[in-house]
Amino acid sequence: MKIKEYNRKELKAIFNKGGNIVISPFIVNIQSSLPEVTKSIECLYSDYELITDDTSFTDFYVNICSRLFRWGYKPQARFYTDGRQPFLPLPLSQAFPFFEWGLNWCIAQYINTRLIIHSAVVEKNSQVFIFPGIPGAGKSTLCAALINRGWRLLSDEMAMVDLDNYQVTPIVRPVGLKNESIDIIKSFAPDAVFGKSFLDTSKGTVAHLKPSIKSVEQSTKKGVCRWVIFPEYVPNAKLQLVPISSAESVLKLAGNSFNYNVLGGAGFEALCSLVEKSESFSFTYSCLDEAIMKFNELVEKDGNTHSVYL
Amino acid sequence: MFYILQDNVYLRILEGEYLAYSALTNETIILDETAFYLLESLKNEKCCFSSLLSLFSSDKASRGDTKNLLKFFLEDFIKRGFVRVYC
Repeated sequence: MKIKEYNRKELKAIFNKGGNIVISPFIVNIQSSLPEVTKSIECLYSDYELITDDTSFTDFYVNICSRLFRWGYKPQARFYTDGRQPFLPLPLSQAFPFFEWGLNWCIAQYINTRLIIHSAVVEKNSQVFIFPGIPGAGKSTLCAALINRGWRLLSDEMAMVDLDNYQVTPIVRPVGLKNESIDIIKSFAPDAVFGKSFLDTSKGTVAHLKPSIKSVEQSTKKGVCRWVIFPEYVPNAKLQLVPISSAESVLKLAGNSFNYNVLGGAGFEALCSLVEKSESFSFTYSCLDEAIMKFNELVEKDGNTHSVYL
Repeated sequence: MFYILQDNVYLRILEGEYLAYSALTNETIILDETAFYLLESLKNEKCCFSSLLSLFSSDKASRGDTKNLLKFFLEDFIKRGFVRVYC
């Protein structure tokens, strides 16, 4: 059953014991008695399957909890995975983003059967776009804007590249937005569903955008990377899409990968093959509508992109 | 095209650019074609290609004539812009 088919009381009971959410390709067991965590999951993961039987294989066990004796004084949230606590506690008010960040860490830390690149990934007309970039480059804002104009979300956080066929496996989760980006997307897409805003985190104010039902329903559909775009948001800048060489693209992607060095030669081969089948660009933008228009041009003129370079 | 120059060292040619990766040092570099052929010829002289790569980003002390020779070549390559060091 989907999460939205349960009422809050049932969800509370399930997550108190631990409930398995299908966040394809993984099954994540989430245990938490914190109301903020349950409420956020109910809002942002409502279209995801919740498995309540014990027969399914669980990839990650995570527990977000708080210690009772600290409730009166600066209450804290703690993140556990497989019974270990890899991070120091955070303020209780940040329990849900802590879950999201912690799950990112689990995947980046333990999944070495695929090459993982820190990037947003979207798709239109079977053409996958990868937007790698350091935090603040504007990849999540771009990603949020695109998925609110009909593009399919594969991931806001990481491109998971299969090592055998170099396809990109989706991992559809809420899009994490920070600071000014939150209001930008709220005004860009007034119908978009947001979770609660979390103030004063280490990243500033953080809010999560709910992925579309279409993206969640197609979360098992892999894609082939066609475009590698290195975005940079520059206020008032003129839109620029500049081709970069494949070799340089490989080096930049390697710098954005979580496990390139762990995979050794297989990672190098996967990166080279991914880039070989794609076209790479650096991209400067300040206006989301212009950016989307440019990407739509790329999709439409696939195979003859030279005419759309700026 | 994909070559394995020796154990744990890989080379791939993308759009005419030579990309080399050493799993021993976890370094990925772009080689100029000239540098590639020079390195190839050095390899044929039984020099260690991975040691060569490891010299790119460090000041490891070189011992012996072979390493001094390699270091000389590498410094020369970098000065000429044959080799770009990234990570």
